[in-house]
Amino acid sequence: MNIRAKLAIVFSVVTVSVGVAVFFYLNAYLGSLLSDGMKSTLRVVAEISEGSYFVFTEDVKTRTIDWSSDGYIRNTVEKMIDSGTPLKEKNRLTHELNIYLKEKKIVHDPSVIIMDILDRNGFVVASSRADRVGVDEGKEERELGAIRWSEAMKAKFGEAFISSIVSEEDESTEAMTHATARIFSTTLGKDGFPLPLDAIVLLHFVRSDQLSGMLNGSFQEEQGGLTGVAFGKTYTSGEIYLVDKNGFLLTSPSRDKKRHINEKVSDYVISSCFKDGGEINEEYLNHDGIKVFGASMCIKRDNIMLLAEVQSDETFAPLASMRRSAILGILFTVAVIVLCSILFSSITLRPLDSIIATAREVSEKKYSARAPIKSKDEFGYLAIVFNDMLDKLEKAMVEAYDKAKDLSEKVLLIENQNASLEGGRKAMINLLEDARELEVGLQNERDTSSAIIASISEGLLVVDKNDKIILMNPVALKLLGVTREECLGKCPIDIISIFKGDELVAPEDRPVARTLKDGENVFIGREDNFYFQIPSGRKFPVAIATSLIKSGNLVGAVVIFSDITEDKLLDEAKSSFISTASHQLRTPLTSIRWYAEMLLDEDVGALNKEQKDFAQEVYNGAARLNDTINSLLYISRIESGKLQEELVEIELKPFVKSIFDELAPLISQKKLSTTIDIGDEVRIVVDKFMLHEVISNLLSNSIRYTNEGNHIALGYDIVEGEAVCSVADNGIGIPDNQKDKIFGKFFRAENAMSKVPDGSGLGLNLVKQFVEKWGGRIWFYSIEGKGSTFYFTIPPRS
Amino acid sequence: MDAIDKKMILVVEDDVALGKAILFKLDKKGYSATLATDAESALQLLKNGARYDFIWLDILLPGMSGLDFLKKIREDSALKDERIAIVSASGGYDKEVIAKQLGAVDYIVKSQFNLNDIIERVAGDINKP
Repeated sequence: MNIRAKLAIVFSVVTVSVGVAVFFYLNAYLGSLLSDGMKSTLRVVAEISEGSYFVFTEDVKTRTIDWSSDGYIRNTVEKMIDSGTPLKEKNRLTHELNIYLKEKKIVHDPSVIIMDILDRNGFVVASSRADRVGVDEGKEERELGAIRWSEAMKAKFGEAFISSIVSEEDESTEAMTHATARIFSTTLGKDGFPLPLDAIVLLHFVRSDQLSGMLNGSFQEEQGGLTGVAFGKTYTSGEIYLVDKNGFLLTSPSRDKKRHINEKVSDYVISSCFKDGGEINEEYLNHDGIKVFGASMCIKRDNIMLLAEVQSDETFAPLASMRRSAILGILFTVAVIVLCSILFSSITLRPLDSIIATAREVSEKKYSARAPIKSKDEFGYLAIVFNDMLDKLEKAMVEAYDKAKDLSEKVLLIENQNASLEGGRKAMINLLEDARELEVGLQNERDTSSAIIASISEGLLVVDKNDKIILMNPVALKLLGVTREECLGKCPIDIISIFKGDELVAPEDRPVARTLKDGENVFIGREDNFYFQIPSGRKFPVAIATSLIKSGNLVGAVVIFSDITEDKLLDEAKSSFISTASHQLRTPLTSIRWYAEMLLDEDVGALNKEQKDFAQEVYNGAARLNDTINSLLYISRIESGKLQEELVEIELKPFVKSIFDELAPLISQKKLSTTIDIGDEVRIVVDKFMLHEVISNLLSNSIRYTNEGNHIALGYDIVEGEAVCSVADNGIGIPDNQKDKIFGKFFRAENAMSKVPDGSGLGLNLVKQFVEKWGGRIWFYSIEGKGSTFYFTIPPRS
Repeated sequence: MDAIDKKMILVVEDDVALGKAILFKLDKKGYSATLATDAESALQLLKNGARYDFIWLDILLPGMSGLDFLKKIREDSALKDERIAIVSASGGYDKEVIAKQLGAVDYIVKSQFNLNDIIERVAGDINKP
């Protein structure tokens, strides 16, 4: 909340407080003033009214005395009450007096409605109303306290008594006043005063109108008195009236003509007068429940009370209007004060506003802004000081700006550098990440490889490109009888000596050296006869495989080797078995053959035909057995890998021809025709022995499994870069259901068996073995009963 | 023919039957053949000073093998020049190579040939310079 508002609030609060205080004070003061005033006014009025009342009553008294002084009445009454007077006389006197009273007296005063003469017991002895004679007024006095005739009976001359105003409905509808006076004789007593009689005059006055008029001033007005009038004029609710001790109105209030006499008024007021004897002068609730100010005059003598009342509302009317005015005044004042304070604060604080505005401008970087100096007061001073500060600020800002510009240029420079560094850094991080990924991948591969390497059952050794050992697997360590620590970083040559047979293999001829130098994969098998000699001295035969490891650049070589001692032993056992077997088989067989041969040659004597035939059979059988054994032994040798190729270049046609020549006897025997379809200039590199066996076997098959006059053709061609030989016949062919077994050992097709009962069934197997040994392929086409053609390839050799 | 002109052949062959047949044929051919049934005996003969024009050597022999015998002969300066042909029951290129290395004149596989053929071949080998 700003100052203006605060100020306004403060002032209004102050003003309102003050106003309220003043208001309440005034209210109270005026109130009391008014009430006091009213009270005293009423007191005065009451007293004055009482005065008026008394005047009035005096008037009544005078009348009473006056009439009680009437000679005629005096005389008559005297005579009447004299006990000596005869009754008739009394009655006559009474009658005359009644008439006299009625006609002579009360006519003169209309307010007297009855004039009674009472005896000392209070009985009416004469009256203006004749019928009243005999009425016991004394009873009335006793009951109502009305007449006070008893006092009058003792009264002196010139004393009159007024009783309270009563309403006696039987006598009059209006409230009446009774007045009594003693009647005195006309005779003077010793003291010079008239002698008192035991009779009184009782006048019934009806003068309530007059009374109220008197009270209210109208009587006085007639008489010339002003107070009541003035009172009535001043106070619209002002009332002066009389009340008897029971609280009944005796005069009607002038304003409220509806009110009539005999209405009851407030008990409080009555009791205070007649019981407590006090007069009141205060504010109270009147008989209607309205708050009034009232003053009472207690006229005990007459048993009446005089009340002057003014309604509180009227009393405090000024107060009400004052209140209204005060409130308006306060509000007005507050408004004025607020406006003034606002105005004042605005004016005073305007310089502050401009300072604030300036400060805002400066905060928006308008450093040149300055506050206007408008006043010579504190704000003015503030403006001056503020501006001073702004000067310094501006200067500082300018300096700072320049410095900042400078710095930002430098920063820009650095940032650029940073950016490029960052780029480099990012690139590096990428590389690192890639490297890490790679490493992980490699690690995985390594792990896999390690697992594999550890699990292979052969020795594995890896050397780097400088022939230094970088890896050895457990089997290698075991085979070589070394530990990893001994080997890593060393060359294999320092650990293993390699022998071929008994000869030390030269360093450059060692498999790894060859691999590292030429990049060739080297395989050393059983047949190469290599041995490792290890640090322990043990020498054992080995099979070695070396291979280059390259990944872009040469990394090294891997060597896998195994101790083939057992294999070799096995081999040797096999070959020794084979050789032994072959030897053991062949030797006796040779024996049979040679002896059969010698027999046939008749080296030990001539044989007859039968003997010759028998010897021939022996020889044939031996020869066949020999062939079988040879074939078996070849096969077993091939299968055990002991057969080595010996390659020579041959002219194919002559070679083939010579084979035909070898078989010529059999060919001519069956009268078979032959064809050799080979170019004259064809030269191939072959193992002569094997090729011979293959062609020879195929040809013999063709010879054997054809019929007389059939044809055999041997051909040679280059088909799709391959040298293909074919041996074709039109013999018995191979049944379809036997084709898949035809190359099997000892297998003889059914038709073959029936044609040539004694065949070994090994021929084709041997042929296949030979062909495959030299890396060729063999296949055939055959139709049973039509013939067969066998093909085999000869791969080029150097 | 003169006994002095007869060529002296030492046959080292453990199979008696075969040996007998060989001797018979060699004799028929006009050579003077001696049979040794094992390499040791043959060696002994040689050590004892017997000299032959030709040695028919089987490989599979009890005890010392034919090839070892051959080696021994070659190591012996006195005997290294003996002309020897291997006539074995089994072929085997490796053996043949070794035999040739050891200076065998020929390498014949018995089972491949008739006896006559072998005899002829040996005769040819004997007469070769």
